[in-house]
Amino acid sequence: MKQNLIIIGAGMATGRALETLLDADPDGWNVTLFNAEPRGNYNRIMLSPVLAGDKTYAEIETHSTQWYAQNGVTCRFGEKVAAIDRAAKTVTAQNGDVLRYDKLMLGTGSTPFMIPLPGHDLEGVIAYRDLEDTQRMMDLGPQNKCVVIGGGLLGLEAAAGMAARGVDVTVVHIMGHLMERQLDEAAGYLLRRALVDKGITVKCSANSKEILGVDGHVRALLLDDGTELPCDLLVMAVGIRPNVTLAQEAGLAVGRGIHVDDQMVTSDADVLAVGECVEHNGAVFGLVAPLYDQAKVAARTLLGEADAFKQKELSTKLKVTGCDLFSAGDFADGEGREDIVFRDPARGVYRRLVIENSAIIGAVMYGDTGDSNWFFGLIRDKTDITDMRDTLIFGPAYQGGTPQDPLAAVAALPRDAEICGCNGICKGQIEDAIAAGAGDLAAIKATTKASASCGTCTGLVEQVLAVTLGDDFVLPAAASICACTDMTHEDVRRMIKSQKLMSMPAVWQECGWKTSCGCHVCRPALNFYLLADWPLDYADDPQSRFINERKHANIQKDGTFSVVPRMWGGITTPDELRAIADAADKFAVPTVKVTGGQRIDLLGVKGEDLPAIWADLNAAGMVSGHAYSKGLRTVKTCVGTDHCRFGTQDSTGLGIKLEKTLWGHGRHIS
Amino acid sequence: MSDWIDIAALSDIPRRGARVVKTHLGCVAVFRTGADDVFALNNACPHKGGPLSEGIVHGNAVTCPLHNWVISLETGQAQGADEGQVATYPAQVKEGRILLDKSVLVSRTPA
Amino acid sequence: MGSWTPHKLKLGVSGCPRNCAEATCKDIGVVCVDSGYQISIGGAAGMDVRETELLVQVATEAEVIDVIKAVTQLYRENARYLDRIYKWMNKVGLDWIKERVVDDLAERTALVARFEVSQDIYRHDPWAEHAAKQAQSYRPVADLALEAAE
Repeated sequence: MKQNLIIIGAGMATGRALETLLDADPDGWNVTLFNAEPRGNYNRIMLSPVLAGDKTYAEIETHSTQWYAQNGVTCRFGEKVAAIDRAAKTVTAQNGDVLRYDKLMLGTGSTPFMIPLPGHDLEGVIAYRDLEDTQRMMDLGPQNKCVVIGGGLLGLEAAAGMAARGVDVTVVHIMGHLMERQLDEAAGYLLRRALVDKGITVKCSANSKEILGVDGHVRALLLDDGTELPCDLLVMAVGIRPNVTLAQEAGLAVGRGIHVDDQMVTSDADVLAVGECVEHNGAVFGLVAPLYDQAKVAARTLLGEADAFKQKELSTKLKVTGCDLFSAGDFADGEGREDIVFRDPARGVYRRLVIENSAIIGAVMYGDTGDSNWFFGLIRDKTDITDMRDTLIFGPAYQGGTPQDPLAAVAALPRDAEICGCNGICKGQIEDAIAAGAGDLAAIKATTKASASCGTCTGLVEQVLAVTLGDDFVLPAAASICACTDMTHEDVRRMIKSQKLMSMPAVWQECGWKTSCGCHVCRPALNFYLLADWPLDYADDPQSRFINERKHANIQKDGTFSVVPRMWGGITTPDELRAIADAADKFAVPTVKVTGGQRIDLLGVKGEDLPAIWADLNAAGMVSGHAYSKGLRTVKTCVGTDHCRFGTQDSTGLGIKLEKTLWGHGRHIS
Repeated sequence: MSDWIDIAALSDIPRRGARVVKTHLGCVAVFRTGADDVFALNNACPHKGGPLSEGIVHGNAVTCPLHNWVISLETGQAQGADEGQVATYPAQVKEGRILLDKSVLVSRTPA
Repeated sequence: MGSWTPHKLKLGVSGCPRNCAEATCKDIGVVCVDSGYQISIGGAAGMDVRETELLVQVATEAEVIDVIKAVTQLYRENARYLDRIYKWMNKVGLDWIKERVVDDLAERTALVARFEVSQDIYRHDPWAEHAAKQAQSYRPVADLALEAAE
């Protein structure tokens, strides 16, 4: 006798489960399929190619009306389910029909999360979830503007799809770099660059404040820095939440999603659940691969066969033409973990492998992901990579031979191999220069121009010298900034200026940094260089500053701070002195000292008291003395012509003017 | 038995930064790395007791602001040529909130 | 935030050559004389002790301010992080600096203009800003001592 199976939700997971079930047992089931969307199952992850115009809906439909008919599935599309009665084993449809089930499968999917910004309910504010949303975006053209909130996978696919249609698109992302869950900063930087090249405006670290409307329709997004981004359509793609309402009302065990065991069975033995609505061992799911695994297991469970769902490593690829990126596994830094980083600035390639216990546990790639499947296989199978470690980063084509000595590799290069891409200098020209007497890097630079421009080939040129001259050439002790790079401070400053590098990830990528995000030596230097060279474009990074500059006070050996208010040119007043004395009393300052720079130091202030003591000193008209900064400290003066019988000019007055000029108040303080 | 308590939102700590949690046995530094991992350590460098929470965070390590000792956030061990150990405490992030194990925090020996 | 520079920047202005403000061991020093102002750079009085070297003598306060803005900007744009002016000067040479801020008036004007752009951005008192907006970040993120009765 046939069993009644009711499925709620015609999505990718239930679609696959149904196929598997009917393939194995075509005659065992009476299937009724409810779907809130007025259509059957289609390949939801291909909506982005539809949006971009690369595919049509017909091409992404996975189950046609005929398929459902041929397989005897009763379709109730465009109908929601009102309730489930588990005791009676019935489902009540929206129109009041009551249907009995033997087995029930929930595939209620997820709901897009809408940030409850003021104005989120305006017409023209949509999510990116189904064909209707996609159609709204496809209706836009070159005359339209669109804002996408969310720089994750879905938001960027939406943005790229609309940009391909000529729409003026701005992506607003709250985090510091795009796709921060899948990419590190370096890959995020390359991705951003590629999207900007497609004409998309990208705003990271941007907080949305309000959606502005006119006549009930969205007109602009307001950011909390006051920027208004005009738009005809606003797409929110900030995440999804499992849709558990129906399950919850039916009394099933629910956490973030509907709880299921390894057999995809819920807390009720006759109710199964698959897809984005489930929670398995604390995890919820958004990518398609695990959903398909769940579907197969659910079908097997219905068939009475033993199977178990296992969570596996996941990988991500972005479906945007021209943005070639791949991410898999865990790529956080960590103890016992090692990075292998490869950057090819000229080709815009970045590869990073994270190794732990002789196996790859994570990978991020941008620009050349041809080998991503091979790497993903190594991650999934936890392959021991010890024997191929030295050439691992170059991919499978380089495996099988003996590990390469870098010098041997350089020696093996033909004479016409290009060494310096900027100036088009080949190995042969460098060898000739050496034969003519050039014995060091400076001489090669002077005679051939090799490594004289961007400097990234400096190491290669030195290796050519080493190979050609043998023991006569000693590779110079690296005067690099730190172990993160082979470049010197001067090299990096030149790159920042000439290549217009305006962010730290840009420097790391274009200068071939060997670590993923620098260290305490290079980060403060880079922060200064970027700030000095791009004052209008680069935002200061407090986390790359030494504590004194981050907290605007000098740390002392016991962890307390010293506070030095500015005394312009060393001049003070009774009122200022009274305020300093009052502050010293109020905050129990243990030591008050006159400094060599003609001002007063309050030593031993507790870190948490700093804002309060500053507020008191500010109230008396005093400002920071920057006794902690790499910046203007003091302008020491003598009394000059005002009082001194030897004075020739107003040295105190000039000192005050200089201090106010250099301190940064500039012309704004008289 | 562990007793996870909610300390703060992940966003209360800047990326590659730290904040302290006061306890009656001294301060615990809670770090957030560039990869959004969270670690809790005694807020005192094994060298001269420097406040590690004020250091520069890079990778899964922090550099002490007083004399540039580099401490692993995972093991609490001084890196490189320096030798020393800082106590570490269980910490985790769940749905954007930082959780510490209170049972460990209150039963530790004073710093 | 003040004008960030590669390292700290200390100035001195003495009202006569008796030099009571010790201007000639500062990063930038001005010594007033009857005919104007002697601007010298590259002094040190720390681990290294060095006397400044004369950059230029000028006649007016306005010129003093322009030359000092220009030399500060040149230092900001070219020096290695953590090099004081005297170390930077050792590398590029006093003449190289003179060429740009003394001899080439167009370059001096351009440097002053770029300095002003940077200054406009960092014009605020960081204390006032942090006291008003970031006071929270100076406090413990949580206080378990309050419930430490157990």
